[in-house]
Amino acid sequence: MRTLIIIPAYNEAENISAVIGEVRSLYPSTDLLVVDDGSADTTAALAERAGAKVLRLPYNLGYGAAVQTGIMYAVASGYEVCVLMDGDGQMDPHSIPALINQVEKHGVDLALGSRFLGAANYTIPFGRRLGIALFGKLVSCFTRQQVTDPTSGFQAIGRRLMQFFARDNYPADYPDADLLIRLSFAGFTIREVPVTIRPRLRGKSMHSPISSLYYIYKMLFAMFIALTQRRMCADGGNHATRDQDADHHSQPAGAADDCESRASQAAR
Amino acid sequence: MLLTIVSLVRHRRLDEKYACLWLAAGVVMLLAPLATPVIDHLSTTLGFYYPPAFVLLLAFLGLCLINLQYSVVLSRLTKHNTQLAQQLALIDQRLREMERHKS
Repeated sequence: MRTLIIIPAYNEAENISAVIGEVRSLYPSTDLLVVDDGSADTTAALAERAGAKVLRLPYNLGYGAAVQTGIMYAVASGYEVCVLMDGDGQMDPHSIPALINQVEKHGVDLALGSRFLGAANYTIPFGRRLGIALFGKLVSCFTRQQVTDPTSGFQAIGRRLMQFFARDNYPADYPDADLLIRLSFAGFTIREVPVTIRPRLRGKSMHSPISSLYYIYKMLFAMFIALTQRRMCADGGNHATRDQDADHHSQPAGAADDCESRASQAAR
Repeated sequence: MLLTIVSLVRHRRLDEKYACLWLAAGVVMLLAPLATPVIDHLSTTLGFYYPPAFVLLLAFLGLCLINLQYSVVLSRLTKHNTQLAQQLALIDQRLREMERHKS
């Protein structure tokens, strides 16, 4: 299966070369795409020099929008599986085959890397651990399956789900717990896979106390909205897009249609 | 206020669509002094001891409504902005790839 490894990166000049180098040494034949989320440093140039394909967003859109751009590229280019991993070196690329395997062999739509089933070789701050546990319990309750690490950004995604995400069904900032609930309602299969998470290579994490508070608010509210849209989700999440298009007449075609048409152009 | 709104629309600095709520606010402000007995009666019926407090409450609610409309518009613009930036990044990558193949 054609696989694309997508690495969203924002101001990761310190780490990006090492991350790409490690992934390329382990999987030399797998394509690698770095989505530079409007970095102010040399992330994009370094990623290109290290041999990755690079999508350059003109300004910082947020983690979710950067990931979605990568997924749109993957759909348009005809990839069947994509792997998401961060550009800070925390995610051990040795775990990638286990994630892909779930999608390829078992037909899972979303293989979610869990540091709690695998190994977390660093100390997770207490507040963060508590938050993950709380959201994990909530997601497990609503999806009726055990989810231990709902905030994990280490994932493998199958083509059907990639198309769903490219079609406007992806939050621009934090695509975590609420998204898992929506996917479950929409009938996509999710399976957790043990992965290894390490400390950051260099630099500081983007999380601050204010962003953590915003994160908690955003997740709880987004989960509540997801629960109120259960039927809409079950219908493939297309109502929202369609309604908005009808309201504003501003978007002639959905992102996925656009991606599909570009994919066919590329094939020609 | 009504004159300012009309002038802004005339000079295309304000869209007719977004002028709607401001126009309504202007008309209410214009007509309010004429309806003083009605406002007095209404506020007493609703239990306001001081009628201007009732008018202020209505004005506050009206402003909240206008602000809410802005938030909706802002959310939509942010979404369109994101989609535009995403398409730009995809086209930019494609162009660079084509140029690389050419050279």
